[in-house]
Amino acid sequence: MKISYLIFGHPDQQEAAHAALRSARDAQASGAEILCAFFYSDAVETARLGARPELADEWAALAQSMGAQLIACSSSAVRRGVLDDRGAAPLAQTPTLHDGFELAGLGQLAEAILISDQLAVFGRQGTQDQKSPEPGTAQSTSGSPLVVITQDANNEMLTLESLDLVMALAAFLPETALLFRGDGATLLAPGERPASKRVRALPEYGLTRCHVSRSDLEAVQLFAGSLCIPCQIDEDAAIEELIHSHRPVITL
Amino acid sequence: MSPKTPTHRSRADTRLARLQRDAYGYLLNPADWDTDLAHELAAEESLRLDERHFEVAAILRAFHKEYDLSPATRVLARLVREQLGEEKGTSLYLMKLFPGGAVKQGCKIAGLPRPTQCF
Repeated sequence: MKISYLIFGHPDQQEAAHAALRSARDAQASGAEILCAFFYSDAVETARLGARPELADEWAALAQSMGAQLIACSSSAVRRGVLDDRGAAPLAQTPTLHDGFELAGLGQLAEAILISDQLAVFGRQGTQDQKSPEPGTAQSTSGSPLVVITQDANNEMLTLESLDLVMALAAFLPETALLFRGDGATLLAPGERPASKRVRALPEYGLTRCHVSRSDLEAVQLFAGSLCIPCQIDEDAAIEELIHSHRPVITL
Repeated sequence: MSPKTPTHRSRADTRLARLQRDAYGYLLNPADWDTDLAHELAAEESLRLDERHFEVAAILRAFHKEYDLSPATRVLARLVREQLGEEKGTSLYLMKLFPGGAVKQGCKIAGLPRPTQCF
């Protein structure tokens, strides 16, 4: 069994990086092969040199013992000043990346999904959709991925990062679908904010399978004719079926 | 080297030298850009521009204006194919025009911010 990990949460505020580490150790003990742990968004803080030495060292040791890739997303990292040698040199700064980790793009995440049998997602707190698989569940990667965006654009950087993840998956895995869920439905409002503009760019990246539930749209007072991109409006039962019929489900 | 030292070189007498740029030499404000600046930016990259570069730069600038974003390379190739024809919409053609990367170097010469997306 080949398994990869996708981790979002900030290591100080959320359990994600610690819970994923425990889960990876259990998987290793049960004979699974860990191919990749991909740290995205605030989770790249896990890879910051000297910040949480124990956690980073334990991840590095685990990855090394398995020959697994330990990746911090390069864009998320650079935005937060987590720099490898190559990134630090032009800025005349000191590298800040733990040497057990490497920086790489979202293409590596797509590849990890393609070559793994299972993906375990450790997300941010407060984003869990009750219909989605529990955080950390090892999900089959044989189906089409579904990304569920549950948060509004209050934290702009996190929203843009969520949308970038969808775009990258859609580029490499063309069957990728997107569900705007709960407060995430507010992202469908037209506007000129960076998050609105990024949503409008989704079709350019080949992401045409967008869904939202009628009840979520009503709750955020949006209407079918006023959405900023073409989006299928589903009844609750169809949303449940959508979540059931896609794997892995990545909730952001 | 102080953190503010730019890695690019520009002659002090050029307009480019007076504009705000990031550590990699990208303009901070796309509105500063015009064709003269494009030629100055290209000279730093040892690149000589003609109308083929400018038609791609126009596509990059239009995309950025609409979405606040630089397109991924494959998205750029598709837009070029749609707008400039089949024979130009290939990564080989774009790589020859911009040896430093169609998006990476293209954005610099088009006066756009350094692309930050990692795919």
